[in-house]
Amino acid sequence: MIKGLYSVFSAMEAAWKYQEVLANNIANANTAGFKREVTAKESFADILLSQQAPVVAPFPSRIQAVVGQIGTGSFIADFVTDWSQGALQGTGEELDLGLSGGFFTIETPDGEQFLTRDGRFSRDAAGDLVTSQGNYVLDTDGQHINLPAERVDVGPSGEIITAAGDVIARIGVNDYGPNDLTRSGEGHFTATIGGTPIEGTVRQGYLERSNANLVEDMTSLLAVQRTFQANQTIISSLDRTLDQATGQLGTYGR
Amino acid sequence: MTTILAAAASGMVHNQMVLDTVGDNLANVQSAAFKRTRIVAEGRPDATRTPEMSRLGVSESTLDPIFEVGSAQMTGDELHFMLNDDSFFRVRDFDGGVAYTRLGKLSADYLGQITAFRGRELDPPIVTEPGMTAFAVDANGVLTGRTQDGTIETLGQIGLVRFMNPAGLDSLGDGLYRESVNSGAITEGFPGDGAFATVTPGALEASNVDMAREFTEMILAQRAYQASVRAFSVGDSMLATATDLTR
Repeated sequence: MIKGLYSVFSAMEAAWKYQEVLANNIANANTAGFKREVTAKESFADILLSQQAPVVAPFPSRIQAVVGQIGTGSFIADFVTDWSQGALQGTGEELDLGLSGGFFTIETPDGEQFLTRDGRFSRDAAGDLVTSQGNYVLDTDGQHINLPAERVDVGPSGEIITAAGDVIARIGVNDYGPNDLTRSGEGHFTATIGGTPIEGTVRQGYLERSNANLVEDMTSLLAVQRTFQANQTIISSLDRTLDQATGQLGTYGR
Repeated sequence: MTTILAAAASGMVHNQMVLDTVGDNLANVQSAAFKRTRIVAEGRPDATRTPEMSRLGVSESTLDPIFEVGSAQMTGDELHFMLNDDSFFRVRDFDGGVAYTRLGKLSADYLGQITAFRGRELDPPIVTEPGMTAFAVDANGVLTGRTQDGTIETLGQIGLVRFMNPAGLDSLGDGLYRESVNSGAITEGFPGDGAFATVTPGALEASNVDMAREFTEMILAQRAYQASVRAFSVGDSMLATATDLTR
């Protein structure tokens, strides 16, 4: 009886967490280079329990299984980043660089390095290539990139070509395994290990849009809301049963 | 606990700003030398934030003026000229401060002085002789006028400047910009001197607002706004459900 209460509580907690993730995805539907989060689908428990009862969206069967089978109440929903490509939007801007693979490396003025797919770059007052927040974009050797005031061309492998045809630098673009990256804010990541250089993925005059999927996330959000309400109803009925057990059973002796 | 409300609210705020920007751009679709503004939602790198803490929605909205050159609109006015590259020319604002503009809409005032848009003085000023008429600008920015005895005299040349980072200029309205710490080094020269393109006389630069692009942005922002509002109300109703637990 009490065990059932905990199970339902776990499901509600998971639903609460899921809606936070969904709300963040929806809010960032227009954030350049944003990668949405989705529920993890390949954990051990998931596979084991999905053989018993495959469950449709929004929950992986782990959550459902908690309700029906395990009921320890210790479940924490797991979320992973969806690395799928966002749409490349043509902007025609000189320093808008869209990526179809890999990550740019940027460095804050404090020397901290991050990875990003947000290629909305510009010149700073000194002519260095910087992000919109003034963080430096690094070349293949990890150095800052200084640009002339005149327009430059950027080749598919990040080569920066002046009007005279000279290659003055190459923007570093590296690829990482999906499990080597952790999220550090919207659209920014940190890597635990070094990446492998990747070529031919840079497109000048394009921005990668958010890969948020409004239709899917809104559907999941509504489903989450109903799941939450359903579990609340179960808590109410469990509470009534407990009330009967403690209140009415106790009157027998009189 | 209330992350969903904060995240959804940030999405609403950002998309409202997108709609404001679209409105401003569309209002200036016919303004000569107007430069459209672009607004992009962006993340902010922060190594100290855990994934839980970073689900707060849109962290930053950045506004960029887009200095893409607009198309030429022939006006036939001999004192109009259009800049064909990413340059500016210098004027004195009414307060005497130096400002930069791309709006080559010169005119002669009642004293016969050549002024920029709305009577602002050029810097350096162009000195005319009394009684001069038929002022004109050529492709190299050279200003000429006809004296009372019919001879054509050269009055001066419009100088051009280029900024390292024009997007860093402060906009003053009326197509005027002022230097800032972000605009960077200045290169100076004259039209057609190699570093700067020649100007197109008798033309003004059209606004670079593209209506199709603005309407696309508007539709996207409107839908994203609606989705954020929905997320907000779902979060609200879930909070209500949770509050009802003890009933």
